[in-house]
Amino acid sequence: MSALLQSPPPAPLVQVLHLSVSFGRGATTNAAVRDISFTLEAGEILALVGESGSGKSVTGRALLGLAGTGARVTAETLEIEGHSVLGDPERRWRARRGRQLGLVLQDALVSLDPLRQVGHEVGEVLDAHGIGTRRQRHGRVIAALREAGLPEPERRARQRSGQLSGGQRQRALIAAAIAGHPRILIADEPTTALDSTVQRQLLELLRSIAAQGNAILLITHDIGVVNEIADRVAVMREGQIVESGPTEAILGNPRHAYTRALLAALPAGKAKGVRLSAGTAVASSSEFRHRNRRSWESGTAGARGGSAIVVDRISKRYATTGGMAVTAIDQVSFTVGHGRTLGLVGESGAGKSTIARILLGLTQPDSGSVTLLGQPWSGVTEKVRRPLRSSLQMIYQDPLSSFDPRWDVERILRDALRAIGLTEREAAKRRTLQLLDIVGLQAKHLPAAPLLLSGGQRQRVAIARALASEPAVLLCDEPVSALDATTQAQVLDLLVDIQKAFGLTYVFISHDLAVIHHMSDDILVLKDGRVVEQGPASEVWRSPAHPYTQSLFASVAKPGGFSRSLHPEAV
Amino acid sequence: MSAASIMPFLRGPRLPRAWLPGAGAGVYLAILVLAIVLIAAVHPQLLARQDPYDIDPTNAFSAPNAAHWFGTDQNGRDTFARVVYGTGSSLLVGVAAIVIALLLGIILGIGGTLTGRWGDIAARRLIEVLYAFPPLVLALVCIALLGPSAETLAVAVGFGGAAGYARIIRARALVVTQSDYVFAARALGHAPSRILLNTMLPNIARPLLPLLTLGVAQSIVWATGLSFLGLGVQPPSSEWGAMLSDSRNYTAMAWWLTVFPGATIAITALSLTAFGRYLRSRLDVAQSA
Amino acid sequence: MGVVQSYPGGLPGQEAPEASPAFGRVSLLRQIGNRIGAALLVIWLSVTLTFVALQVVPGDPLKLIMGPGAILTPQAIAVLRQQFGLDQPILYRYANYFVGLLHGDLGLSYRSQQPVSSLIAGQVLPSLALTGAALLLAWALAVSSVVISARRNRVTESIGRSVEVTLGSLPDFWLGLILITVFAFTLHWFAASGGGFLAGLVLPAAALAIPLAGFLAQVMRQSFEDALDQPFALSARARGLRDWRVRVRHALPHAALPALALSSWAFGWLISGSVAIEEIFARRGLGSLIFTAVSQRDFPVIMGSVVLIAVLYVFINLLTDVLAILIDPRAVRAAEGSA
Repeated sequence: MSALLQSPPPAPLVQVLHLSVSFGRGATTNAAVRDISFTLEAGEILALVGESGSGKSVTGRALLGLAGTGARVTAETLEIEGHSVLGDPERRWRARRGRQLGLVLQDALVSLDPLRQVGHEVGEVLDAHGIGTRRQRHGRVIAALREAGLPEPERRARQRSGQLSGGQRQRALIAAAIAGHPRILIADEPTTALDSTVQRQLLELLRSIAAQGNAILLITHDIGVVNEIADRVAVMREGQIVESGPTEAILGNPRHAYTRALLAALPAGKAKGVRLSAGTAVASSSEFRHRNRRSWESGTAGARGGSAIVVDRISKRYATTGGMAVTAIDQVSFTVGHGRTLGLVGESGAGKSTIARILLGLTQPDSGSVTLLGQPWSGVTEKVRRPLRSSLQMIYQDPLSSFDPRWDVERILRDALRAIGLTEREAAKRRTLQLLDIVGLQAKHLPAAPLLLSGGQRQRVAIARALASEPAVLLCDEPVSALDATTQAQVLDLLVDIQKAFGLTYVFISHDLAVIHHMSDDILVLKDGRVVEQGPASEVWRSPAHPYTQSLFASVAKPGGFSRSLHPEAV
Repeated sequence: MSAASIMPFLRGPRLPRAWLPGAGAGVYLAILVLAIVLIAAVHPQLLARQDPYDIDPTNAFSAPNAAHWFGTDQNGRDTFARVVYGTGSSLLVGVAAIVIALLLGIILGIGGTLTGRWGDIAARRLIEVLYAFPPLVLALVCIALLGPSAETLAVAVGFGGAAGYARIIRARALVVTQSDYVFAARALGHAPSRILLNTMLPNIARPLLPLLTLGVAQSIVWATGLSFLGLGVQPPSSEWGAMLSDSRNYTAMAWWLTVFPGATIAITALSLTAFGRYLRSRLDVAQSA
Repeated sequence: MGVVQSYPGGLPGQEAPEASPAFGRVSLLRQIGNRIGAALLVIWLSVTLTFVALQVVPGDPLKLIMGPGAILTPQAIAVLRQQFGLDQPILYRYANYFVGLLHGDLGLSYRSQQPVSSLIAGQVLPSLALTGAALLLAWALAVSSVVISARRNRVTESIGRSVEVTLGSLPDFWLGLILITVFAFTLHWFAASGGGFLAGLVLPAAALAIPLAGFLAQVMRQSFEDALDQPFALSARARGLRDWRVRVRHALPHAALPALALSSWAFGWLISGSVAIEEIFARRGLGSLIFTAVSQRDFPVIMGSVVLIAVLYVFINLLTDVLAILIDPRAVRAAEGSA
């Protein structure tokens, strides 16, 4: 009763008991968050981890009173800095936003208003709450930008988000969130779109903000990030927290099946051949091989011996609108043996997509040559190239945009079969079903519009389309970077199975080092259009030789340290 | 991925399966109106009992009543019958104009993107210049050349609208030629002619139906406007614009002569617009991820 | 959690590398050069197209000048031909027109035989007043409708949308007739024609502005809603910003860009609409000038009006471009890329 007699234990900054958030009414009610409880103490980082649609972002927004239009938020207790905020009017919520709670969104060109100066965006919180005079506000904006580690804050404050790099924008977003000195930060995927070196720096920044006695609710899908900086972790799935506790305990000794699946799905540190998803993949059953293998052999057997792809010192320059030339790739050489996987890795702008276009024969290199299955591939006319096109296919980062928007799955696959001259109705139908079977889809998916399929299903359709011509080489351009962890694991397993079953050669392009290491036999590291290192995957992963590769690999948030029990032979 | 992925609760609705998926009551109402307009255009006698040219001076300027729903004009002609019988010519001019406009728009819009660098530059400049002309000035020049008539009206309104459609179609053609799915079709090894016919042209043509519907609405408004000025269909035809032109002298004493033909134009245009917007929104849903 | 974020509204200039100051200046100069070139091209082609079109028109210009019944001596014909330059070969006349254009000489009207330039000069101000007032009014109506009703509850939204579509479907000349009947003939709030400069402007400007507001609002609403769905709008709310400030400060500039791009088109639209409106309200202006010129086949006046409108269009286009660049500096780069 009396505060004088005993000082109460410091109240947590956020206390949530039995929080539920639902959208819609009646039959269409959609419970986004179901009965979750957690606390957030000063100085700690709590990670809410889960896949898309798990309700983690809605939870974060509910704390700000911004769960969305039509959201119904209920809870037994919802306390912020010791005050119950349940049923508060909008005015009270508004007074709280920016001063008690700050929100950091994932960097995107549009997380900051692209039409406004960065300084105005950061200062908006001061303006909204009427903090300080104009001049004082400017000083605080610059201080916040400096605190967020943005170099040359005075200059940056006058620029707009389009003029900043991804990392700088993310720092500006953090500056905007901390400018009003809130003690609670809600960071929603704060490092997701960033290159790994930048990601590392930003995590350190968040860590130091928490160390000053602030609390951070970190919302992420990335277990590596969780492992790096979270003190405690809560795993969310379908609106519920399935497991929570100290990070080491949850990641090192997960008890819930979903947490285990999530951890098993991580490719990091797992060499080629380690399965990432549970259950037998369709493609690995012996029946499958028996049924499908025969049709392939004629296609690839003849081409054995020698290399599938030989790239010899190719270079490509582009003219910019300003009349200057930009070197996209410079003297790149590599060979890929039959049935092997070459991983191309590099940060954005390293020249990966230019190489993909040249390998696809849709862009010609300025110099150098490409040889595909022993035949000249670059520097010849499209007429010469076309008969060979069926042996090289590609799958894309965003399969949906690579499908004609008018077509359903059946039409997409039929069209691919037509490209190799298979037009006879019955045969095409049979082949279509076979292809779906290979990628783990069924006949019921034939009339589906790709728009209505899940991300994983879309990528499976794209793989089926690529396999239609029974190619020898598959070019995979960031095929899993848009997918959730468990879906990514399934698609990666599928790609491995298909390679095994049909003896395909892969060129695998990714910015994700863990994925590249897991998929590849050999790795080629690109920086600014040049090859800085190449070699067997295990060697490059274990002991990178080039300083750039070392820094790249050092910055990967490896979950290897805590989860030895899961994969004892982390290579 | 779109930004919607980080705001899951803002994702668009799933496509429901219905006869007209996502259509509100307004769309059904618009379709009903258009059906009536179509009947009036093809079989006016089904809707109007009176003869639109039947002169009855004793009955001039009677206000709307049970016998004459829309009242009568200075010659005692039944306004309702005249509006109904005027539907055909008003609608025909609108449709003919939009067909001319779209054809010109397609030639200018797609022609440029398919004929290489110089063709492209020429088409772009030509569209720009045509676009700079106020549509009515273009139409007036056409009328000065050909003399006023219903045919001239269609050509004039068609030329006036062509540049706007050319711009839309051109933008669409650029999006399609640079799309990932055209890239994918090339990567699959399809012949260029097949990609053009099977992938590019059908996708460029997709927004044409909504454009056509929206365009007819605007053409009807434009064409009746020219007729109103006495530059289009001539009296005693009961074309809507000509009727309005006729009514001007009696506006103060016989409001129904102004209100009903004008409201008919507005409601027809509104229904076409509502239906066109619905068609366009369906396309957007089918294309956004 | 995508690696690549895209902006659904498709704003230009995504993720461009930071432009160095020198690069920016070169780009701006080029941009200005391109603009002037394009403007001259528009004017030249407008004149040429109209010139050619008018040459094709059947009928002897002299008959048009003198009226159908006139009987002239061969001597008088020769004098008139010389006076109107009709004795010269066509290419010479074409070239001569441009020479005159540089001196502000647009020739003589066939009908009134006055200099076209002075005929036009008297009409420019009333026309600009009418189109300007209509444009401002249309913007005001469109902005209020969108800011007030977009992304509210379902009922407000559908009312807003329906009103916009309905307004956009109203024929302006009919609206003019209705307005003049109600407010001038019946309520006597305004004079049917004339009245003071401002009072005489209200009804005709409203008749032109209301349908245009419907179109502008439809365009703005789309971008406005897109902008409100963007992460930056959420960020702004999370900073404690009021709803209406999020709308006005963040969403409105995004919605203004496509509507601005439409405003030079809207100018042509207004000039066109003003023909009937000036007729109904018995106003002077370019619209009625062109209309009369076309009915009388007064070619020099048609030519002169087309030139003036092309110049005005180019000027307004430039103005909207500058406004767009003020709102969005990236537009410089984007326009450069597309030019």
